[in-house]
Amino acid sequence: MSRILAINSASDFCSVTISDTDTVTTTTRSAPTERGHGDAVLAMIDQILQETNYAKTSIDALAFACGPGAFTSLRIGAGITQGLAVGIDRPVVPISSLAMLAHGVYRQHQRQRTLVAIDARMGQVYFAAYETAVIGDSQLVSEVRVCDPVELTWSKGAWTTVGNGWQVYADEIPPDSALKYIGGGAEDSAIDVACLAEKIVKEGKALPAEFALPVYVRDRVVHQAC
Amino acid sequence: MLILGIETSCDETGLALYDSEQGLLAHCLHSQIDLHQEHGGVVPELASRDHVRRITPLFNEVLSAANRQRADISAIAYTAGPGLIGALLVGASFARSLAFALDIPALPIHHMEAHLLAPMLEEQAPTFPFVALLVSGGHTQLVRVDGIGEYELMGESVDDAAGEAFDKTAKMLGLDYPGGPALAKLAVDGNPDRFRFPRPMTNRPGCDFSFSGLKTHSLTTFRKTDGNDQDKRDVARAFEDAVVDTLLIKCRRALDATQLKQLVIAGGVSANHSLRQRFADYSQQSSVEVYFPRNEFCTDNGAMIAYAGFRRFELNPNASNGTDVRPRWPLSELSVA
Ligand SMILES: Nc1ncnc2c1ncn2[C@@H]1O[C@H](COP(=O)(O)OP(=O)(O)O)[C@@H](O)[C@H]1O
Repeated sequence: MSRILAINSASDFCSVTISDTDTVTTTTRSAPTERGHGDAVLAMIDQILQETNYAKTSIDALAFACGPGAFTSLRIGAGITQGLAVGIDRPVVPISSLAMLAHGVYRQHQRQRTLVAIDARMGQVYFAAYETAVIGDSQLVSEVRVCDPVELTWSKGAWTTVGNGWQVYADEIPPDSALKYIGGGAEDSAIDVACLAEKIVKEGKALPAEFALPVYVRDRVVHQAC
Repeated sequence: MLILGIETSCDETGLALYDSEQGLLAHCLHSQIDLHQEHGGVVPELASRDHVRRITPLFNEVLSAANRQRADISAIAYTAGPGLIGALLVGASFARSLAFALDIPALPIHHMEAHLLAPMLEEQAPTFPFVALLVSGGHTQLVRVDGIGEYELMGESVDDAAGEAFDKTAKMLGLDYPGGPALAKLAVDGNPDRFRFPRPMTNRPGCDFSFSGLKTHSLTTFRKTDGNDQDKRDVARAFEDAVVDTLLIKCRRALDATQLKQLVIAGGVSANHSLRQRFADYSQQSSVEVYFPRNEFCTDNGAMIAYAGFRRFELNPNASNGTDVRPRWPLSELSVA
């Protein structure tokens, strides 16, 4: 039985969810991501705590979308998660932003096989394939890559695609008429972060606060000193 | 009252705990010098990536070093600017959410204000009003300080900051980043009489500085030598003497103009041994008292942020309301409350 506070700060919309496995309820807030949205995330957390009447210390674990995504936004999410986690002395669960999207497709459209591609800027995409057969468990069935859209490959079959990469690079991604496209990123939600975190918390695999770290995938950064 | 200070504006992650009764309890620092060395300067993305890895472990470390619990903390002070935006945001996010979790205020602190208050952490502390010389990698400023938040800019560098000039000159001499301390080390064995560099802008009225010409002068002088180790030492010595001399001339001018008798010198370059010596000599020969932070608090650290937070909190306990980080933030825009 657990109560999880989940944060997604790394997409066009940031959102916050509290899920309670006892009462099987979730409460969510979301807002367009703006510059310096850290305070907006904290304000949303404050709102849903008041709405649900939960004390901060009644939260059992903190989950967050750890990337890939915009570096600074990821670090805002990681920083907030670490601060909360040390403040209430609870463990953390980093959840892949790509898995979050795949899970959202299953939760809302019941499609199991998902190809996720999000814009990685510099003409590239972050990409991964997932299979989701039950709520709360999206299995990675490919590598997680950052690559040029033309290099994307996947096994033939009935895949549903999700993520803004498919739109942004529609002209470059190799065509496949079997693909079904869903939304451009509207599925982004902390609800899915919470769902995916539940299993990990139940298995006792939540981590100490300092492990709330971004997963950048793109490790080659512009090494320009200032 | 116990204040947690968090510094992440550039390439140092620093956390400290300051107690209103007992003073500084503990401070912990992680310097990223090794990380940036191979790139010859601070790489902003790498700096941000490192801050987010270090911040929680340093928080745990500083709490246990001070032998306190997180529930003992009464407010959190964090550097909100000036600095690298991505780096600032790591500290701000952590600080604000930790404050939220603990139901305590989060105070955004101006990094240069913290630098200029740093000598007040020492037993021999200055009292308001005083003149402050801020000399760091990003700033060279002379400020009249009448109290917390009462800052009047008297002069500043029109081009390179003093620390920047040290670093660039050092790079030109083939020294590793950060060049300032390395150049100072070379200068120790340099011949002070071989070269004499100009003292820029000292023959003009006012308290402004210009250091980019000295860097060029060092280069042209060095090119005319054989370029051996002694040549390097001699150029380093001439450069350092010129910078220190220029700083002293301008400080005296500011002290004369204000009729104040206390001078505070803070920021990374104030760790420079020759500078400290010259100003100590000047203090001996005059009626002016000169105050420095201890060496480790000249460069960026969490202790000065915690202390500035304490002083700000005393003035206005409600100063915590949500402000963005400010990568560029003139000191003169600060006010008392
Ligand atoms: N002993 C020294 N002599 C000269 N310069 C130094 C010395 N120690 C540090 N510095 C210079 O101080 C600067 C760093 O100071 P710091 O206050 O951390 O600056 P900032 O926050 O503006 O980067 C660097 O330019 C460095 O070269």
